[in-house]
Amino acid sequence: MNTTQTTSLIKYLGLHLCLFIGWWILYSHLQGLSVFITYTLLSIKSPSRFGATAEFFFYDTPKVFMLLGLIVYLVGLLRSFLSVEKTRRLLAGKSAVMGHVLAALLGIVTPFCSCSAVPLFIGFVSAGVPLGVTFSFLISAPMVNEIALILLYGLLGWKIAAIYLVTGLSIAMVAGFIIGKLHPENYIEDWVKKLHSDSTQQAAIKISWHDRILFAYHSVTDIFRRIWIYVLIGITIGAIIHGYVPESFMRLVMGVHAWWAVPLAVLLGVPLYSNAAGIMPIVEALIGKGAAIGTVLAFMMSVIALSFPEMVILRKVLKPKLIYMFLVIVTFGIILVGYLFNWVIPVTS
Amino acid sequence: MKKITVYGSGCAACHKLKKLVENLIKENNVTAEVQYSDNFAEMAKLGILSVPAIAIDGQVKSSGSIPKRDEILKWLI
Repeated sequence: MNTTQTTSLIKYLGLHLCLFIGWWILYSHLQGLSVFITYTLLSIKSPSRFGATAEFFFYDTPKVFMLLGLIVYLVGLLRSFLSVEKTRRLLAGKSAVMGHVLAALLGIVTPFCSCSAVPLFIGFVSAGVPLGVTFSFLISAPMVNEIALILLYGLLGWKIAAIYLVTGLSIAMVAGFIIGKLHPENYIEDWVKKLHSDSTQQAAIKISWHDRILFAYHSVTDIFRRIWIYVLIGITIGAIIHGYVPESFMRLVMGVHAWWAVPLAVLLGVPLYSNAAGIMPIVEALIGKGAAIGTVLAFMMSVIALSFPEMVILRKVLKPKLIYMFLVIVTFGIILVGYLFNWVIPVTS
Repeated sequence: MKKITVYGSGCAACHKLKKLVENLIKENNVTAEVQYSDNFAEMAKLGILSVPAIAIDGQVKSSGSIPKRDEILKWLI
């Protein structure tokens, strides 16, 4: 690194530190701000159902967007160091167990969109990444979502965030492992097996810090443009649940004693497809109203991890039987996690 | 004449990239032929792991995102 690079790096670090301090000051005053907007500025009657709804909305909207901005920016910076190509190189030729663990972990941070599921699948498999390991990656990539993780942390505390991280990774590892044992090679479309991928074509490009920061900044604006509407809809639904749904009703329908709630929540979640950021305010409101944590986490995981469009895309390379296997194993894993947490954490405070 | 192929799986970003390339060609009077492909076998041969991707005369220039206008222009001219 030469002197100009060092000075620009110091300049960037200083700028980021200032921005973060500003972010932190604003973030720690959001509660007071939402109370002020709801009851003083809009003079809504307190206490009232509408007041509770409005307060939730004015508290969650800036909070979710601020957390979202921070995490997408940081992950954007991290991702400027990673690529699908690098992940493939890391996964090829790893021993079975190590492969699943690594695939699940890389699934969180590797830049990936479900529209790339097919080329990625073919590219991984033809480069010698075992099928089971490829599945661990494909399950973990949508399920263990960095946005969901940071929002769970911000809205519900580190314990629930940690539970989500550990169980999500476990499902991805175990499901990939089981699929790997079921001879999945028999259920791949024949044309895929004949392919050989060229893994040498793209040369690595040197990226400067300036480019990395630009990349991270663009990922923030890009994500905000795409999901702000889902987030607002999610917060509105969450706010209405918070203000109007009685706790007794929620405990009855989604409480720990409703044994049927977990599979029902998962089945409801599969056809629903939302962005992780949109679902989180709903998760927050449900848990706040006494819904069991396991049930809500299971619902959230099935919404973000099992998406119907992705299955349709994957059908191009997988025979139906393997798609069913994939769906059944992951659904079963999510239901199991739901029950496990309802059992471990029986009462939500 | 340059042969440009935009690879995609039907996603919104894939079509957006094709439109962007077509517009750039028109605006800058470049003689080039643009086509869209969702042929996964071809993508595998080229080593494309994520879409949208763009290849010019069989050379992959970028994959996994929509490149910046200036960057595409550099490849076109």
